[in-house]
Amino acid sequence: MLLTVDQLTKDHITRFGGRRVPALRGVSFSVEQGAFVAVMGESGSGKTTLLTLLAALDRPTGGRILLDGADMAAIPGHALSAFRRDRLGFIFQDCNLLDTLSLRENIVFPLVLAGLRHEEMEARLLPLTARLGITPLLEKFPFEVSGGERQRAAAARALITAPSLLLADEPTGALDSGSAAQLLDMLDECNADGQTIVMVTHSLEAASHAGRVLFLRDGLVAGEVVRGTLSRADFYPRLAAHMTALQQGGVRLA
Amino acid sequence: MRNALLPHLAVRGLTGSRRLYLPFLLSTAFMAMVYTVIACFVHDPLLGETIAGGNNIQTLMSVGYLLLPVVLAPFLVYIYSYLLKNRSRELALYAILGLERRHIALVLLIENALCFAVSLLLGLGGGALVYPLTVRALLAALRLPAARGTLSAASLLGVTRVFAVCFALLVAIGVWRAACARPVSLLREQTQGEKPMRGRLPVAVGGVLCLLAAYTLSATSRLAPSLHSFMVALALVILGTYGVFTGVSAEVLRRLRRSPRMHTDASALVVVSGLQHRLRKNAAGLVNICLFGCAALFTLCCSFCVLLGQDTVIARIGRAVVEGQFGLNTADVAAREIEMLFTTLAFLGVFFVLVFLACTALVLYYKQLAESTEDVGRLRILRAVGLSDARAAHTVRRQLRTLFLLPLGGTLLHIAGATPFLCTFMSLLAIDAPEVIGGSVALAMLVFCLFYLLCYRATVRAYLRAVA
Repeated sequence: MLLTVDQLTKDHITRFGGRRVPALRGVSFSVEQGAFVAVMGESGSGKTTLLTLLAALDRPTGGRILLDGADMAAIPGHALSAFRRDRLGFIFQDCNLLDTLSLRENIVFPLVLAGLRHEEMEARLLPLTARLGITPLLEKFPFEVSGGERQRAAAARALITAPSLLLADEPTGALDSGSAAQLLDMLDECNADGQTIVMVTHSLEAASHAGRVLFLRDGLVAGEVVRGTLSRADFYPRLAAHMTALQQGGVRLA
Repeated sequence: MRNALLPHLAVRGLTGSRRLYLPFLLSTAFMAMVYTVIACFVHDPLLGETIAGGNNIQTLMSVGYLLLPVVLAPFLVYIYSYLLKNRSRELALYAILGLERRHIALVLLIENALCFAVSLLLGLGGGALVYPLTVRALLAALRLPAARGTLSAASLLGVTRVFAVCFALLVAIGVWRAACARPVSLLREQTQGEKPMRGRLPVAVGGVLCLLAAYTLSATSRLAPSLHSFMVALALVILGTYGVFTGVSAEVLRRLRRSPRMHTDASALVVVSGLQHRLRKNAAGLVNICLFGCAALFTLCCSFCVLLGQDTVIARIGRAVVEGQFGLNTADVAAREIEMLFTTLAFLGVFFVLVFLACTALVLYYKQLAESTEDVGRLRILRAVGLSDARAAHTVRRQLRTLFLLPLGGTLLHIAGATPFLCTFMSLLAIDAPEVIGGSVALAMLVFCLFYLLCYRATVRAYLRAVA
């Protein structure tokens, strides 16, 4: 098992009054090596909280996250950023590219941080950008290219370290349908090459690319649908049906 | 429109962006205070009637009284445009929420009226407290018997009038900006990318040439001293500083960016690219800091020269008496007048130095504030990509240091270049001892660097607080 999430809880504390608001209330699931898992849920279901915990950007209130069998809580604070850099890749909804760097510099930035040699960077960069179709744009700046191109550059930055786990937070959220389809196809290809992916989304279209979809509701896993041998076209209506059932008939978990 | 809503919005607007408005209010209040002191000198019957030679003091002070608004008004306009730019989102929101333009104008009017009232009251009050002390200090410096300075209604009225005109100007600018802009473009104003600068080389070369020309004018000023050439040099320095800060820095940073080091040193890459972005976006801010610094430092040099030089001038008159060129009586009167003139000049100089320093500090603060809000997002991304907190802090320090040293370096260089001009001006006052001028310049530079360092530490602290 590449990733095991065990009884994960997270309370947010409101700024005034110090009231505890549970965001996750005991989430457990696991992700095999090479899997493509989507986590679906409406806003407020705890999706983003889950992802920030998986990304080690925040510490859980309770429960454990094991990556390759190692407990993330055991990583000391000063080693966290190196851990993130070496083991995890991120794609965010709003790209999070640095506007002061060119696309090339943005993409190789994790390698610069890791202290790789220049030749090695180029050797990793060019095949990746060729596959993503952004090689001609490498000298451009983020505000000079389209949203889809920005997001592909962000994907390249996430993939260039060959991470154990690729985390994507609503990666198609800010894209038009054409760019979104392109990005999702790209994720499919990466997954076919063996890249493990966990994607958080509320788009059925995006989730239908995954092999397994977890439904999150009020901080708990409320259901799971496995694609199995279904084609994407057949998987989509099943997801839709499951989601409708969950929204209409689901027991209120308050 | 309910009557209470607009004042409420105005107050909310001010308190909501108090990180912007509090320093603005404090510095305008400070300037009002300095101006009140000058105005009191001009109108004080004590100087005009009781003290011998007091009207000479008043004549000099009235030069400052006329000159200070010339500095003040453009500065307030510049700062206020900056404030408005930072609040464009808020103003756009008002328009979208359905406030008509005249309502927005009214909100701006109320805001400015409040600012006017607060800064004027603080300024007049501060001035009323400080003026008697200043009079006492001046009389003590002139070895005259102590006397109480009195505030006159005319001076308070004069200050009120000048500040009322300034704030009316600000309201006009605000209304004009709100009237010209469409809400959507106002909403977007704060989030635009910066294009790389075109024509770096011509601008860079032009800037360097302007500076060289200005320094040459300064160096040859002893041959033909004129205020005219000083003004030309001043214009050249302003143009040249702008050229150097935009053109030369863009070119240097572009080359740095291409160096192989950028492939291995992540924090260097962040610093250099950040500087590039800053200079594209806000070279004018750095130039203004540098130029206000120059104004403060040059005035400070003059004040020190006049203070330190008066003894040598008086000694020279003494020698003239020994050589029989002057009668003892005439010499005494002349020495007395010189002492009075020079001391008053030094006091007036210090008033202007204070105002210029306040300007410098305020522009510094706003620059820092603007950049910290931008950097919050950038640092968040860097952390997500894997930059450790310690390295991020190191990077931030490096960038701040560079951005602070640039204007300071420019200021010191300009003042070094302007030293021949200083010598020329001082020779008109018969101060020509090189050790006096050299000592004054060194002392002034030291004082200025200390002040700048203090500002640096204060703004860095504010920056780190905003970023953390």
